[in-house]
Amino acid sequence: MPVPICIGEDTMPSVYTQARRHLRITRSLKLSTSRKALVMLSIIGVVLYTMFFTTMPVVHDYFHELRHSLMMIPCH
Amino acid sequence: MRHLLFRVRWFSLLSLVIFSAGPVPLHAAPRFTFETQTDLTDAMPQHDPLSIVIKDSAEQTAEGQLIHVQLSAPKSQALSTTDFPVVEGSTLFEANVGMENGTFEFSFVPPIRGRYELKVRPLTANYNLSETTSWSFAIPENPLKVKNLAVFLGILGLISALSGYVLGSTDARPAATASGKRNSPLQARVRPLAKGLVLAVILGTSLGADTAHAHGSESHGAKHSAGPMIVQSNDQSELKVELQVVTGSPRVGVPAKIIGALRNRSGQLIPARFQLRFTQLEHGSEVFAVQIVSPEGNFQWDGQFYDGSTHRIDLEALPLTADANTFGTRASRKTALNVDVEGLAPPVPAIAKSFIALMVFAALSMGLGFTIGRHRKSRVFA
Repeated sequence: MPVPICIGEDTMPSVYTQARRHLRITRSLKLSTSRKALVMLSIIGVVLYTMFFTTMPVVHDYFHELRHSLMMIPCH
Repeated sequence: MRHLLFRVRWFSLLSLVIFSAGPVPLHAAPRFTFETQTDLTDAMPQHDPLSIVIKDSAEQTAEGQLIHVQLSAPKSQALSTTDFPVVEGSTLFEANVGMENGTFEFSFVPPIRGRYELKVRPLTANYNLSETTSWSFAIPENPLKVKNLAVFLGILGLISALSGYVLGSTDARPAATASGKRNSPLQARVRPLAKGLVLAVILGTSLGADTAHAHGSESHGAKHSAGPMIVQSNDQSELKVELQVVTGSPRVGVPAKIIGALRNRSGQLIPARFQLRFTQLEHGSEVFAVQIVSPEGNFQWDGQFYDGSTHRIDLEALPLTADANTFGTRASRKTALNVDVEGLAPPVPAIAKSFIALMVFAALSMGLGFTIGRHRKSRVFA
């Protein structure tokens, strides 16, 4: 039996209850296939841009060797 | 019939005279020749240095005769980019140098793949001043980089196709709600939030910095200066070698003006043979080396550093004079200077080319996975 989490005077729903609520919300979202594809491509685009094209020094230095090891990624 | 035979004999005799004189060249052979110490097919960008020798094929070559030499990087391609797009189409080095024993030699590490162009033009009075000899040589891409790209595209394709497959196999037309096609209040809240989140992440990463900082430079004690940087040899000998970077801290894509000189205590220039080397300190690799003979005792070298990191410039000078008593020992004088090369962010067209290519590949893979997923779903439920 899931136990509610008590924080102060408020009682938070358990993890399982939250998961069921999120699943219900996801199923009720009526996104068209094209929009789902667009969201997925956007996520891929953000990840690719962050890894290979951003000029933020922290990210650039972390992925510097990876960028140079691929043929078509401009670095400097 | 006798007239015909007579004409045939004369024609045969004339042909024999003409063609027995040997082949006549259509144009004079070039004065300068181009040689490489290693096979060009084995050369790779950012790998081992490539040694190039330019020789004067004239019968009598005066010592120290000047030539103007220029090496240009490959031009930009329409559909692909390289590691250093700022270098594409730029001049890697340019200088007036003297030839020793009719030979000029230098070694450099090619920064990018493509077709390089080397031009040589004589400068002294006994040469034809308008004669420019040029060569082009191609450097292929590192096979390891091509393999790495293939592996990366495979992973990207797999992820995109899998996403498309899931979308295709779970594709269901959304049922109309009781109120028609109006969205639920939850959708009205989530959709703008999702759009805003994606836009915020994209803008945040792209506006993080406009120019890349030179990485690893702080730990090498490099000098960063907007004005000229000058260094001299510190020994107490009669001669001093001077090294000066006139343009200040070098920048990728722009040749740095380097001046070297060998002087005595009274400041007089001494004819010398200079050895100039560039070493990239991040990997400890020598990226350029050249020997310059200067009867005047100084030289100017316009050379580009293609990598935005710390480099060391080494200059060694050996007096040309045979009179060792004038300058004491004929030992060479050395000096060195660390410079912080400013890197630049890749230009937007170069980024756009690669990014759009990757996104198109991902979209096509997703489409393929979607098609397979839909087809499989229709077969299962048929």
